[in-house]
Amino acid sequence: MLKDLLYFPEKIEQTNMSINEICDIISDGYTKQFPKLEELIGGLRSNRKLIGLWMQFSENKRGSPSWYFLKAGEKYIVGYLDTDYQCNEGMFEDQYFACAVFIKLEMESRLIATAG
Amino acid sequence: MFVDGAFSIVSGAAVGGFTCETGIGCLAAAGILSYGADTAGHGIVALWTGEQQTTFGAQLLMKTGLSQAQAEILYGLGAAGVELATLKYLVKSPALLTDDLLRSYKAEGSFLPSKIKDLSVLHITNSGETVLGHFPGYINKANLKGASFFDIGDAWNDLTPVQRWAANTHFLDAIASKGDIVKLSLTKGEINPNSYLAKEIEYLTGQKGYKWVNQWSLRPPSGY
Repeated sequence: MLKDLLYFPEKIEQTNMSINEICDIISDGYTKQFPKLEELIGGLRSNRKLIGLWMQFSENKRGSPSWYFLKAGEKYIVGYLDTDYQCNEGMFEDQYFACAVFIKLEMESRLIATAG
Repeated sequence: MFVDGAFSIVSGAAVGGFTCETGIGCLAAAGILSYGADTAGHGIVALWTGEQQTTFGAQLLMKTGLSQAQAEILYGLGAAGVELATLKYLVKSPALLTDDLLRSYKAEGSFLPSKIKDLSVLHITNSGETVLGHFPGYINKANLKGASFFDIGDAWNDLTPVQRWAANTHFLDAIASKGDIVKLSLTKGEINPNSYLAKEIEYLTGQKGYKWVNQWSLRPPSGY
């Protein structure tokens, strides 16, 4: 279940399904509770390439409003580009923590809503 | 099938610009140009025997490692005049050549609903400049300059990869036809080679004749 979530960006690259269709499939396990930040961080630490996958997923977006995750120098930024094209963002020093925050913001409402 | 073949003699010639960049492209080009006669002939055989045979064009594509079904789908799509960029994407991603894709293509006659086509050109301005980059930097820079940019909103999440790329190339075709200068929201050296941005630039330089001017921008071919 956690693995499905963490490797979500890889699934996007490997299938011919839409992002929402993939969400439909992996949302089955999230009817009640989304993984905690600590669980996400633990999963991300187990495979460093996951950070790059999520960053690429964010870079490749071509639709707003939406969340984003990027590297700026030695820091990591998680933010939201809103409907007025204003960026609201926070800066993090730890890449795992930043990525976990992005995953939670990007995926929680989407998966819970889909499952509900 | 026989009528199909006769039609394809015309439409096959229309996609004769298929390049040999990938190697597979050469085979596809050769196959597509002769598609009409090929499928018409097989149509006759199929009518006579009741059995579907592999077209010659598909046999060529199968030599590149595609399965028979994949080769037939790709061969058929090429002859039906599907956009070159979409075809090249499919050649590089044979796993995407599914029966569902073919059915969807047959149902809609296109990979891209007209609503998405309209959305993809919604943010084209008359500034003469387009900004490309990674999300969200390119949108921020474009808005500051009043330049064109690609943003299809929530629809992005509803489209398959093939449809996403078709929407993207529809936008790139539009700004290229206007002769827009392309500015980047990051330097050439900062481009992630596996990113959508890299594909967009490859399309503009490979298919639309764009040239790098400096680390930040590309210009259209002379004549604009």
